[in-house]
Amino acid sequence: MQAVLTSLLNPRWADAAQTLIDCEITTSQFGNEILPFTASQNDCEAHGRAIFADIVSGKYGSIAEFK
Amino acid sequence: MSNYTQSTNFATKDALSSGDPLKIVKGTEINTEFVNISVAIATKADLASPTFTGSPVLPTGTTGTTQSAGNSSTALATTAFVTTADNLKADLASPAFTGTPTAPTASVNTNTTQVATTAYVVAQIADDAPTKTGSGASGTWNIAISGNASTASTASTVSSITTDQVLNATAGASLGAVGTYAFLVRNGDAATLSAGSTAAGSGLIYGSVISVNYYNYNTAVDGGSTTSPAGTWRLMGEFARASDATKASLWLRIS
Repeated sequence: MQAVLTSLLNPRWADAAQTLIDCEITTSQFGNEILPFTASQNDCEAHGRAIFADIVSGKYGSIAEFK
Repeated sequence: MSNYTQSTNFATKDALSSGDPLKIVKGTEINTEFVNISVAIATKADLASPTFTGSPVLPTGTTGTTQSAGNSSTALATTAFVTTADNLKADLASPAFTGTPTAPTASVNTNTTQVATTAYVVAQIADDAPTKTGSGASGTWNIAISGNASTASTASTVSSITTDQVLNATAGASLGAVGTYAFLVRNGDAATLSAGSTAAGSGLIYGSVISVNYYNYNTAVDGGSTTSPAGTWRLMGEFARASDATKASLWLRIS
């Protein structure tokens, strides 16, 4: 079964080199369970790379600075 | 239709002198009057059960005897009869049927506003259902696989997923792929985590357990690299001790 991303909130850089972005997501597979998710441009999973690209393109709003 | 017309004015005879021959009332005159009356009457309808011919015209508001419900004859219908019959029919707009209404059955694959009968539904489901080879529980449904499911098998039909297919898919998965396990270290965070908790990949690094004192068998966890996996990971162990900042366990990537 292919899970569908149903929401993505609070994107924020997870490293100084800006290769990782942390956020909270919900998916069709896990219903309302909020999952911490790290999007990476180097993810072996295609959906992970696509989410990273979408966040960078501004689809989910601005990306908070790395702390 | 004709009306009675008097042929002889008998009253005028009274004023005539006695010798005037016209003063005499003749039998033929009386006969003529009776013939006139007879002809006129023959063209009139009886009051009781009249039988009209031609094109009779009734004035608006004409009343009549209401026929019993269901009467189907050439008898005229009163408004009461019509109202009774009309009340037995459903409205054209938003009709509320009772009983067991029926309708013509649409042909399979009809996609219009036509009413779908139960016969249509059964036929449509039968048409849409996959074909089955064999019978009973041992039969095989032939289902075409498309989309993401095709990653499990490129075969056009699937009767079951074998253990070999599962193992091969697992073996072929990349490091850090969804559905795979990894031994990960959570560094610098003393918070406890119960089994089944989730964490973002950025807070974890691939690691190992090492022996720091061979003779005392003390062990420690070691972040073997600074590489963090992507995605969401579920803790398959338990971090119960809050005093230790660095913890390691087996994790399962779930998204």
